Amino acid sequence: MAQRYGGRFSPDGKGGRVEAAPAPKLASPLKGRARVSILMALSVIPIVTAFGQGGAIPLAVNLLSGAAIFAGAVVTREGLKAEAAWTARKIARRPAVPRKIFGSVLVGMGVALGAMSGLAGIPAAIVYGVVAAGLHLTSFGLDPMRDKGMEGVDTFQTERVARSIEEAEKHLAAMKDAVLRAKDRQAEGRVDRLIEAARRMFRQVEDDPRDLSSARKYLGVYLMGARDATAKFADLYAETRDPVVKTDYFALLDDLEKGIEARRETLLVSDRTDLDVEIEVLRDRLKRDGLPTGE
Amino acid sequence: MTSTGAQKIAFAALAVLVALAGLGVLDGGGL
Repeated sequence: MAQRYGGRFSPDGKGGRVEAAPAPKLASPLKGRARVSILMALSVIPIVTAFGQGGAIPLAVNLLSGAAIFAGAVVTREGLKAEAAWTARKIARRPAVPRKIFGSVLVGMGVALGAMSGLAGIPAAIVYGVVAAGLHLTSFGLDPMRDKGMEGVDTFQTERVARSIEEAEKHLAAMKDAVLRAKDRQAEGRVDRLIEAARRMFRQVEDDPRDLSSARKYLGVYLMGARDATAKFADLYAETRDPVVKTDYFALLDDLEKGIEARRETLLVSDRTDLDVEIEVLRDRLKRDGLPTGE
Repeated sequence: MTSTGAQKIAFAALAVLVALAGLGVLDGGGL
């Protein structure tokens, strides 16, 4: 999206000292996206040739073939997304549906249908299909099949965390949507910064689900309040353009962001305390058993 | 992780296979 230049002498400028905004984090492009796109494009071929085959059954079969290959490519892309999400997280459960494997089965079926000519050609078509599925699996790989970093983690708690974060993400999305109504780029940037801070905390709670109870307020009530305040601010500011309103709103966001950051630090500290306690208990036991502990 | 050579070759082969199947070149190919 185009953004207005906000330099020294611009209306939104910072006047003299220009502090560099933190660079926005861009998501890295999906691995294997190009291959999926090529596969989608190739699925057009059987659909185009379907009309030159002369006959209703070849037409239907070739259309089905194109549809299966396209569906296979779509499912594969979803599988790649799931895999990327799995790789990005320190604690992750394996995807519930092995989408890449389904994708390879669909592509294999598509090739088999495309290569089929009459009932006599079915065995050969099946071989072609199996070969295509095998090539697909070699090219895109298998889905992640195991849970990662789940040892010593309560599944129930992880699910609660996932649910809370999903809710919190909804608040963030609503907030981002609401601030657009204010038609003020500074406010949009400010909200983006708050969202980033909130996401940093989400990641931390995900990494250690025990933090949920102490972070809960920030995931729920505060973000909900911020969302409502944003909506009110946007409506009011769009009408009045009152700088006082804007200052007040920014002050609120500042407080909230500071609160989130402070809470995040506390979570880190409490992790540290837990570790210290754990180490101390083990050391005491070793000492009691007469083993050298290096003290 | 970037795709390895084997993955690229496998994908190229898959693309050719899909294209041939789509064009009807494989039709009637016996075992």
